[in-house]
Amino acid sequence: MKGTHLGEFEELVLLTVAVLFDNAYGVAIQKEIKERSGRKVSISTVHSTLHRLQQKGFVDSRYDGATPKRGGRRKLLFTMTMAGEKALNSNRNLRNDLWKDIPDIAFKLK
Amino acid sequence: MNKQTSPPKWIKKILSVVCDPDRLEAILGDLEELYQEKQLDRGRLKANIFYLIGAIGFLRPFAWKKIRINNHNSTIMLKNYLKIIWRTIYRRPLPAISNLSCLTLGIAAALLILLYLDFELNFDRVHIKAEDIYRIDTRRINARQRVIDVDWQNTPANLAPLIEKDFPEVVASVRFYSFYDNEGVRFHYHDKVLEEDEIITVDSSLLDVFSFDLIEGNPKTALRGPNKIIISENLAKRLFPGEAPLGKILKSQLVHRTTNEENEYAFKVTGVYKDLPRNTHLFAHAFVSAETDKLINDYYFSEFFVSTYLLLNPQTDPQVFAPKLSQIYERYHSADRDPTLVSAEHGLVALPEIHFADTNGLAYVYIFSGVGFLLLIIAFISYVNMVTALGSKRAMEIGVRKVMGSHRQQLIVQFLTESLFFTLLSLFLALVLVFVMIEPINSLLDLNLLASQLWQPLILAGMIGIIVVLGIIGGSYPAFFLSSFRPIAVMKGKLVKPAPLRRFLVAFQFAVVIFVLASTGMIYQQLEFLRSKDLGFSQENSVQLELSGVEGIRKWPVLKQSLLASPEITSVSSSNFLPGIGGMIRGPISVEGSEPEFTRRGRIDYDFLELMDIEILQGRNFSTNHPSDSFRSTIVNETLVRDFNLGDNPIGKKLKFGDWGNPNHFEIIGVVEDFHQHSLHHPIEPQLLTLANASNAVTVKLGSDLRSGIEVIEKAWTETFPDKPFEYHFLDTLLLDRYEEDQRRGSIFFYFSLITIFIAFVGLFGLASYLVGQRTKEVGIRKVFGAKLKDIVILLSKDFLFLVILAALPGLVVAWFVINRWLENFAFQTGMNYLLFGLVFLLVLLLTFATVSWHAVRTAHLNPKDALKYE
Repeated sequence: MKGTHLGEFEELVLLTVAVLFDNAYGVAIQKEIKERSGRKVSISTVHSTLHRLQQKGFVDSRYDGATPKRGGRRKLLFTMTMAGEKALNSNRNLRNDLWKDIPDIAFKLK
Repeated sequence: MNKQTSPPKWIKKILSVVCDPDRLEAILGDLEELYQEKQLDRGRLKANIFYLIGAIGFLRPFAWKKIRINNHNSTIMLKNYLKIIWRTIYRRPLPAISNLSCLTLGIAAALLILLYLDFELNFDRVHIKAEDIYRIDTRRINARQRVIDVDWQNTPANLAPLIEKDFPEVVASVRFYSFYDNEGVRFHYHDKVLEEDEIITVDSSLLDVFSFDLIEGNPKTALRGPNKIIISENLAKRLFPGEAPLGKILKSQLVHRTTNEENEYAFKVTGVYKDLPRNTHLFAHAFVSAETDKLINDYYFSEFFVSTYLLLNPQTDPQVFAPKLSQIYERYHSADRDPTLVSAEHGLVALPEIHFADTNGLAYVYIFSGVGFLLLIIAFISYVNMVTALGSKRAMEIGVRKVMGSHRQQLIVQFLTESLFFTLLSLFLALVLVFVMIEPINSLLDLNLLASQLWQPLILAGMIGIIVVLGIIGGSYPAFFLSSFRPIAVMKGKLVKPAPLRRFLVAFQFAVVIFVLASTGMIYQQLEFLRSKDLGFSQENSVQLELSGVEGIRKWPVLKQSLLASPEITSVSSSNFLPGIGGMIRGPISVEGSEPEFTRRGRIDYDFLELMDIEILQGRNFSTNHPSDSFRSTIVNETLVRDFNLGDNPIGKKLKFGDWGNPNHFEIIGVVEDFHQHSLHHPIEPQLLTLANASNAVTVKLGSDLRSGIEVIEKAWTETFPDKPFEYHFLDTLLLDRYEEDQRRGSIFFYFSLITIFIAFVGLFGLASYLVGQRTKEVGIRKVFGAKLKDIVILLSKDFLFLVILAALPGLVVAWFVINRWLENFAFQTGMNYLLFGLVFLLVLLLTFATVSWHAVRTAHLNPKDALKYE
């Protein structure tokens, strides 16, 4: 079992998988990330991140939905698992806690 | 909408080979989807490029095909074996490391020898047509009614064109020679002066026959016509740094070999060739076109000074063809032009064999293959001994495995796995070692080995093959031996029948060590003999200079005067040869009533014999009191007196150059003791000396202060020859240079024998540690009963000493045979040194005793109380 740490880009991809819900596959995720954040990532990077997420148990995958555009090939569709949701949550909680504890004065000093 | 196209098939193919089939569909699908969009957007070409870039992104480990590890029982056991290997090493690192280092050293040494053999065996193979190129050697000279066996690598200059014209078997011929007399060639380019030794005159066919890689210039025309020169890349860089060499003019003053005229030649650079590898004997920094020599077509048979190479039809049998070469003399020889020589018989030596024929290299190839093989064997014997010894310590593990239901086969597999693991690891480490050490070794031994030569699939496969076979053989003895332990006996700590083969292996090892030590000792003795043998002339404090050309000779008296004026200089002389080094020509000489015989001739001045300390046995030296000495008198050596049957009183006997018809004669005025004209590879030949006031080779004898002596010479030289650079050599260094190749091989042998001894004794050390340890209890009991330290040491070491004594005879006998064969390379040999053999035997005995008794003493010092507890 690999570690369960969620890296920054991994978190981004995992969130995108959640957003796209039942249509989360390589190209769609790549486009969504580009539209929302402006980051250009290569398709192989998306795949490798998804692979890592799957090894950590944060996503499941299945083959479905062939289109002629893909040369008749099926899509590898990803869905978030419970563990994935938990990891996202704990990441968010950590951030929230940290935000909460920043003293107001820290912002005013700017 | 554009017509639907699909991305390049070959990229898909690559991906389908590399990628995990489980993800392949998703990868190809996503890539294709992007491709179709890109194509609509930006056109097909861009889409293809993006597709390729995208595909390259997937050549990453996460997408690779997974190697599936099956969980068969055997793989699990394999993992377990590797784990046990690791634990064994971890628990007792010293024996494992010494074991590994012996094996690594052995394999590395064998690899180095392999590289050396590769270097030697591929000598001259750089030439693609090497198999069909032959050098003409001269084997026999037929003078009138007299046949002289010779062994010359030269032929007359006019032979090659006649052969090429008359024999259809010959495709082409190339002649190599020097048409000038100068030792080195001094090139002038503008105001730059560069002197080079290896400049050779050659026919234009050179580039057709030999595989010179012409980087610049036209190979068809580069050497056609007079005054053309092609130079090596290296020389080009030195002569014209940063300039294009083609078309540049190099000027040089050269003295013609037959006319003795000095002329200025202007060579035009018409080609640059890639530097030659070191393993070719046709090494030259530049080649001058033969047509530069105006006399190239006028040479006649009697002078043998050209190396001739023939390119034969592949179907021609050189053994059959070689005798036909003598027909040339029958057809073209004219008695008017050449009264002495009638004909000659030639042999053909294939280009790849020349190196071995000239240097006796084949003997060394055998010796070194033998040494490499012995080293490997020794390393493996050490390894096997150590493993069996250590294996007995693991008896408990073996017992437990057996009790737990291990079959004997499984144990055998376990030990074989261990052995293969160790040997392959050693091979890997040895390769690393070779790659790291190759440069220091090259500079230490003055070799040019390339480690990258090992990087060929065939050699690698062969290496791994040999190592695996040796690993299995080496591992199978401990495997079968150790797996035969009976569990109950073993678990009770009751060991174990002695390994019977081990004694034989140890004895063999001793035999090899004794052989190697004795051979190395004898080789060193012979090399020392070469260095120190009295050559019949004095070589100490002698400096050798070279006068160049007619001008040099003309100004010689001036130089001589200014040299002799200084007290640092004892004496000076000039001659046209250097004793012990050569430079003498052979020519026909006859006495009354006999046929001419080819004899070495040399020219010396009045002071030569005295300076060289060559003793006059009969008669007198050349003297200014006898004016006729300069054209009528000659001094000969003892061998000439003997060979020409001149009797007890040769003084006054007449000699003639050529045959007896020659109207001019020389009269013998003195006989000198024999001195060596050449290296000790060659016997002493008949020698004739005539008087010449000035010749090119100058010898200066210095007093005790060499440094100021050299300064005096340099000053005198620059005063006399302001435009000639001052160069000098010490005679004794020149003499030593002749044995460079022998020295090199000697030191290679020396280093390998060190490695052999190291491996053997580290192995012995490990073995003794185990065997002595086994008898700890016995020693304790003996001590209780009153045994002294001395008794115990003798008890423990006598087994080994017995083996040394047993091994000595075969080891020494083999050494005797091998050394005898090697000594045949030298005309003058040191005697077989039986004292040395005895010393080697004693040394090995002593080393063995020291190694074993180190352990023995330690055990004997144990308190018997502890010794008895030892399990």
